[in-house]
Amino acid sequence: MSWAIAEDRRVFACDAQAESLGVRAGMGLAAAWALAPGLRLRARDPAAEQAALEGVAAWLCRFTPAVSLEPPHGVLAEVHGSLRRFGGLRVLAAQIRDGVAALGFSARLAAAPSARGAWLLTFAETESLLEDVFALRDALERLPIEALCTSDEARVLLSRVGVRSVRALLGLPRAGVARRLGPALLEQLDRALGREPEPRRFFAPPEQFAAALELPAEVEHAEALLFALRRLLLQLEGLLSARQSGIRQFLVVLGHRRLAPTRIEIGLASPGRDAGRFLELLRERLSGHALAAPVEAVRVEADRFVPLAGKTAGLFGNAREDVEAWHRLVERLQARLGEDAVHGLGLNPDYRPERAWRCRPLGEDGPAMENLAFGPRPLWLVEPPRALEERGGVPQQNGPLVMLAGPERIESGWWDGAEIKRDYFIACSTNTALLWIYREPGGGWYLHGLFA
Amino acid sequence: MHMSFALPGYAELHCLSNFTFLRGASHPEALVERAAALGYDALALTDECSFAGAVRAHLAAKRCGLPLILGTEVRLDDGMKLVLLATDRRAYGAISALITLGRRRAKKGGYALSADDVGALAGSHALALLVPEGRVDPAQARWLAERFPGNAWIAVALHCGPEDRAWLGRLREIARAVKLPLVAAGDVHMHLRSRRRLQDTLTAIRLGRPVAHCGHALYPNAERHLRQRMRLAQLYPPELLAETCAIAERCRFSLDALRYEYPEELVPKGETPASWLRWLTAQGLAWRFPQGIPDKVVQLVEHELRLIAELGYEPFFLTVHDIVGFAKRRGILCQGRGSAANSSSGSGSSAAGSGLGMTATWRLAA
Amino acid sequence: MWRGGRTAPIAVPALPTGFPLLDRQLPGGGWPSGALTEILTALEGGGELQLVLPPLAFLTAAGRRIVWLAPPHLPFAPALAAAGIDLRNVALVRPPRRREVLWAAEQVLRACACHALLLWCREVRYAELRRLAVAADASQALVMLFRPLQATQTSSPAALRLVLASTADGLDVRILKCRGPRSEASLRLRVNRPVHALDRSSLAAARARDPVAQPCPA
Repeated sequence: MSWAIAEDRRVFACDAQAESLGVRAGMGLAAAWALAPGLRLRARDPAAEQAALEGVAAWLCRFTPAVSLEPPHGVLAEVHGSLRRFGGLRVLAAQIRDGVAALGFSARLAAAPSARGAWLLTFAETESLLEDVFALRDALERLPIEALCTSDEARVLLSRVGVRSVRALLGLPRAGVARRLGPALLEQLDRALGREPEPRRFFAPPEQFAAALELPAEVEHAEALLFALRRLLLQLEGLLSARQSGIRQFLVVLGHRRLAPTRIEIGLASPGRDAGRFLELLRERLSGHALAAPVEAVRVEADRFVPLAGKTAGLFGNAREDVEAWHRLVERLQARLGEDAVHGLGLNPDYRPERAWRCRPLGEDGPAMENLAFGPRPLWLVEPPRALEERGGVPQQNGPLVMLAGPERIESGWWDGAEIKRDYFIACSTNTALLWIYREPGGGWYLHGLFA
Repeated sequence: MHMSFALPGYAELHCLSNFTFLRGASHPEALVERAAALGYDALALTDECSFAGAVRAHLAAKRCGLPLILGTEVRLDDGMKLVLLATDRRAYGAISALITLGRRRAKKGGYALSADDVGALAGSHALALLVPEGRVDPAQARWLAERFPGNAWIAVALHCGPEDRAWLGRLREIARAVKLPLVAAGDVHMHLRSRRRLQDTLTAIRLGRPVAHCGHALYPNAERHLRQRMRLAQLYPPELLAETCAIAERCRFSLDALRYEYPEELVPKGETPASWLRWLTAQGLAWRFPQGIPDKVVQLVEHELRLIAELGYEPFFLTVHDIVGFAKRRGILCQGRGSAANSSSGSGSSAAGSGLGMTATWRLAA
Repeated sequence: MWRGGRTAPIAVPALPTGFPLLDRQLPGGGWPSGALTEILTALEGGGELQLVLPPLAFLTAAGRRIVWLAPPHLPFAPALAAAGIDLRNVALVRPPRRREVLWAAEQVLRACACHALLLWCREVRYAELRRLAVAADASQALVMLFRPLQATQTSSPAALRLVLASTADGLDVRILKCRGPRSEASLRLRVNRPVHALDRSSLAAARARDPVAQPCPA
């Protein structure tokens, strides 16, 4: 399967598969199809490209706040201040290279003491990571003139004069170049060589995240989506890192051809930004669930960032990891079993037994439990209360029940529509289990708890 | 087993009306009428550090023919809760003095009493019931037994709580240890079970919270009302119920026994209040009308003095005269108000009053 | 298969049960941690909670987490609190489907994030029990599996198996299997019952004096 992006009936870009068949950028579509009959086309979508570029830029912000865009396909990051923190230029470059690849992009990387210089070097044949100006000059001189030229006219002119490389250009008198070709070219050169400063507008990472990915083919199994989602989640992680933030929930939207999109909300027990963690949760949520329809696009959205400092590795030792492990476990259980299936327990000052307890969210670290006094209460609550058979006015459970204590009269809850009027007894059945039962004014007997 | 079919006699000895603000949910009259309808032997009205509801209860009790006992519930500084009951005029006076003492000491609406203050009641024939809540302090029971020998009990309130039987057992133990008798008492807050919602709402107002947020501050059920004697017979051992009647027998004080008692110093020896008032009026009139007292005035004064004599109000006028005289001597501006000043058909001032120099304006009625 | 007799008690880290009589009979002197314990009862709510309350109270009071997985009824918070359990360290997991119970158990144990797991399961196959035992071993937690009495018929890889019956004034415990020598006899354990003011012998007298109370007035 080979792919190409088309613009104005010409190939704008194509993938390696198509290239191997001879397709090139700029080729007419007819020619391209002749070479690669199975070529699939997509129209160029500048907006999507811009969004992708911004996504990469946002991800790069984790390394430095000074990131700027070089549309249509370039991003510049000023990393001088980050070199020490990330272990030097080579290590940093490797991280960037790997990270961008994980995001799903292929990129040419270059580094230089000047922004323009680095940009130009991306057109070089080999990757250059240069730290001093002389090396930069050498590398620039080797560049073909096309890299520098901003217009066809200039290139034509220069080639007529025999200038095919930047070195040759540098050999020409400046005044002449300026007069013939305008100041723009010289300005570029000066900036590239670091002679002139180049003010750039820095990219501000946005405060929310929304990124989408069209899938190359329709996906029918949930697990296969994870690969695509991983890229988006890495981008999200990058943005959160850049903003020193975390999130407590994010939204995954699966686009179907004919159905309305499926929306999946994932919640976290504590704020986080680790893509691995997000992916785990997603995996649990998707596992065992069949998709409503084949998926052709995926989208991840997150807003409501909360401040979250970077990890302090091992400072608190085991206690912190323990808490982390607990939160992960809770999230994993909730993702698979549902949020309602996992919770803590708390007390509630209500006389109605069914309301004397409450679910506590497990992230909550409340104050010490208040001392609420209740009468003797059963360890198990039978919810909902189970009606008991009666014989001659005596309630039965494996035989007649014998009252050992009571009545404890509870009449409460007239203010919220759940009023109860019950006389509670502790009763014992022939198999000696102790039961908590009650009687209503109308006369029905119910089992509400077991003392065991 | 012998079953008695007669309903036991019962007197409710611990009862709050709505004169215990934001705790009692029924008017004194309603409580009295209900107690009478239930066939109680007597009802004690024991509002918290107050006799404010006594008059209404007294009038209602006379109408219903129910013996009324006056008393008060107090909570002391150290947490001890007591019900004090008046057996006679002297006890009533002593309890009133205690109430005044407690109220004077604290900000309006509150009171402050210590065990010593109550201890001072000891010789006054007042009866004391210890009302334990949740836990019993044997030291408190012992103190009460020592200070009020023969006049002290431990009140047992059973409201279908989770451990009534155990509670009763515990109270019996303590009573045996300190040699105090037990008596049944209802801690009544309302006359009917159906007043429960109102009583809960009062609690919510008192705490400044919505009812739904009051939690355990509300009572768990509606048992704190005047209950039927049949029910009480099922809940309490018979001797505790009998003891309520024994206490009621001893409490014979009625508000009817009270009348105004003015200080004796107002009237010089050898005179009666009536003769002294007449003499003072005459003096005053002579000073007012140096040229001679008009006939109309004389007739009016006679009429009024006769009225005053009928009602026995002489001491009242003399008291006011005494106060005004004191004020004048001190240069304190004052004006006699009320019935003394305006007792002559409501227009103008009373002749007798002006005669005493009590009002600045004097305009005799036509 | 363990041979009883003169084998020395094996030293495993153990949590005191709260019943000295039981502690003496168990290897290590208490509930084994990092191992699977099975408790078999005739009916749910037949005293199993009373048996295990002491270590639960101890653990939660010390800030350690305990997890209840698929209990047959709702553990009632006021009663737990009254028994000394710190509710802040209690988590309740109730999977909507039976087949997820064992998955959840493994997840909990693998995460090594709690110190006790109470688990109720009716039908478990030997292979599944084996996995549970392995996971328990890795976790160093107290793992208690409650099963119906019929399970005595089948074998189990649990390190400790007890049969529990509830009696008038306490619990009857019989050790079915343990790592080390075991006594054949039943142990009678006394537990605190809420009706402390009444004992069974005066039951008849109580009934005569106190017939079933009258209904609430409407």
